[in-house]
Amino acid sequence: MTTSTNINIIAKNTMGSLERILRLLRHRGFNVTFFQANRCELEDGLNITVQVNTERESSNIFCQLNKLTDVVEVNMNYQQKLRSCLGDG
Amino acid sequence: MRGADYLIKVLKEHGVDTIFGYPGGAIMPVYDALVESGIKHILCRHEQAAVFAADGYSRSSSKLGVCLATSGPGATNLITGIANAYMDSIPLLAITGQVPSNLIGTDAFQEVDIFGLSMPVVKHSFLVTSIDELPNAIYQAIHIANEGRPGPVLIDIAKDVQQETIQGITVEVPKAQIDISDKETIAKVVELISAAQKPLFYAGGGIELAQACDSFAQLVDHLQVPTVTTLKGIGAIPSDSSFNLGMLGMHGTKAANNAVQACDLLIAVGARFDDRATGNLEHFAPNAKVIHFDCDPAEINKLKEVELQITGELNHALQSIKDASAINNGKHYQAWLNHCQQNKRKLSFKYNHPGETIYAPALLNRLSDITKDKATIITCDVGQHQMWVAQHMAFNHPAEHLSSGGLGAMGYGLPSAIGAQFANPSARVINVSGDGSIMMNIQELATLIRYQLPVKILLLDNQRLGMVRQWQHLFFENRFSEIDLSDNPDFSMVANAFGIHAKSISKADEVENALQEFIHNDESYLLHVSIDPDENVWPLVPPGKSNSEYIEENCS
Ligand SMILES: Cc1ncc(C[n+]2csc(CCOP(=O)(O)OP(=O)(O)O)c2C)c(N)n1
Repeated sequence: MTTSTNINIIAKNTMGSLERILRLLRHRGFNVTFFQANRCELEDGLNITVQVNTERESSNIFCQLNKLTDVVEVNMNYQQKLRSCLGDG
Repeated sequence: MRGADYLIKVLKEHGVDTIFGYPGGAIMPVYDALVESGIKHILCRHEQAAVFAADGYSRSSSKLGVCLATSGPGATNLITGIANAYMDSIPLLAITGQVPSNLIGTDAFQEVDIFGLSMPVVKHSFLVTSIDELPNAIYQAIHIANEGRPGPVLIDIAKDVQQETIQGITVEVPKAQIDISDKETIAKVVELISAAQKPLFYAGGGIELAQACDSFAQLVDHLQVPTVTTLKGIGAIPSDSSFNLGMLGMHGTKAANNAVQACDLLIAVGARFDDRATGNLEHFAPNAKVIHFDCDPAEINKLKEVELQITGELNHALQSIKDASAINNGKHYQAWLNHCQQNKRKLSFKYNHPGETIYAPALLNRLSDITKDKATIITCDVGQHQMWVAQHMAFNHPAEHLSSGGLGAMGYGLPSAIGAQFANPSARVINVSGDGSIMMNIQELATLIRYQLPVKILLLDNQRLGMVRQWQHLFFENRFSEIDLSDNPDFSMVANAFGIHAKSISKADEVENALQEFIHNDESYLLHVSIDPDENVWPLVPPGKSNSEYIEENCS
């Protein structure tokens, strides 16, 4: 079943940071249907809003995005199992 | 000081003393800075070999591997090796020269967007187009390659930046962060293990990457829990430990696969549920709760739902569990342990092979026995011979067994042996290769001679791309397609042409003398062994099948 997920990402605006995020989403099976990136308060940062369609389980992409060196924070409208990236327990 | 001199200075400050590479136009300032730098630069004869050598250097020493190449073709030649390090989480720094910054984006001579090209196979990367960015890029790159789950990092440096004078350096020195698992999590692990009737450790390459083999082996001994390993986990506990059931998965031992299918608690440690290890995932460890230790949270619940996760520093976690649990947990799973150990004995490999021809598994098993006299490192290529090494040779530590796991890249064996020999000058380093794989980086025989490396090559020649032939035999109704290598060159003559000793054998009764001469020779040596082209690797779990559905020789 295809589900739609909203993802909000705060990232450093370093060389390739947008490219890395889009590449990761594509490679892990997420189809981007909406994408917006604005400068944000974080010094030289980007506030990115992405909407994705996927047939995959969405929780893992949260961890994968979090792993990118340029990514500062990820929020998803999908709460289940996000704990798995947030340390033990 | 030029950017290039600064790069070399920072590498030295981080303990880098050996770099593998190949020069060219866009990296010339760095090569100039290398002269009289005190860093040993090893000239391989292909950039792919340089990056594999850096990888082998790292795997066999737990140090950062560093390789160097020029822009364009030099950089593209690194890609396979970078991908190899990425798949196996090897800390590696790949430094490439780029065309001058004003020419980037103009399709200049030897301009390739290696930053973009390598993006899917690096942990992180930097394209440095201004001297001000250089210090942070270098410090960050070294830090990122090593920290957490290690991996390859690329720094692509425009040529003008290498030449420009660096002034007023300010760097943010990255700080190491160590997460420690809390007491409650540790207590839950102990509780789950205590409650289990049939616990089993599933040990992966992450144990060695976390430098936690000792803690792991101690915990296994303490709890007396049987253990299976992945290809990269081989050696995490010694092969001859009575708790070690061998490798699991597609070419795993029957004892290991049976144990996984029967266990009620699977404790994955630094393993990532790769399809070659799990077989059909739905039927993998069907009766087990899963505890997963991994420093990368993205591995948790990626493929297999877990009951409990431990992402904290591995040595600390394993030692805490040991401290918190009673010795062998009151032996309430003694029956299970006995059952696994009996299986191991009953289902072990047999080496009495009839006939005059050389049986590769028996030869490798014998090689393993006679190389116990001193520290020995085996590097593999990819194919049947790689699986035979994993099945039939014994290892006490993962750094003794270098194998391209996640990528499965033919051509890895000889260059990684070169890297391993530089990192371990007094060790005996043996590359076990196939007649297909050896040709992928055969030019490195020249590197052996140039640096007088005593690397040994055991070439198992079946005149076929054996593993592909085996699959065509089993799954494509013997429709053999492009696997015949019967027009191979005379490998002994090839070795001799490079100035390397060589011997060819083809009969079982020649093996013992040939192996003795091979391992006791002080110089590099190629032993060319003709084996039966129709030999297969057994057991085998067909792709997509459950690990309990392995097939064996008489079933084919
Ligand atoms: C670079 C690369 N190309 C292709 C393959 C696919 N492949 C896997 S095993 C194999 C055959 C290897 O032949 P050989 O080195 O002679 O080893 P054998 O299986 O005969 O022991 C091939 C072609 C690969 N793993 N790596």
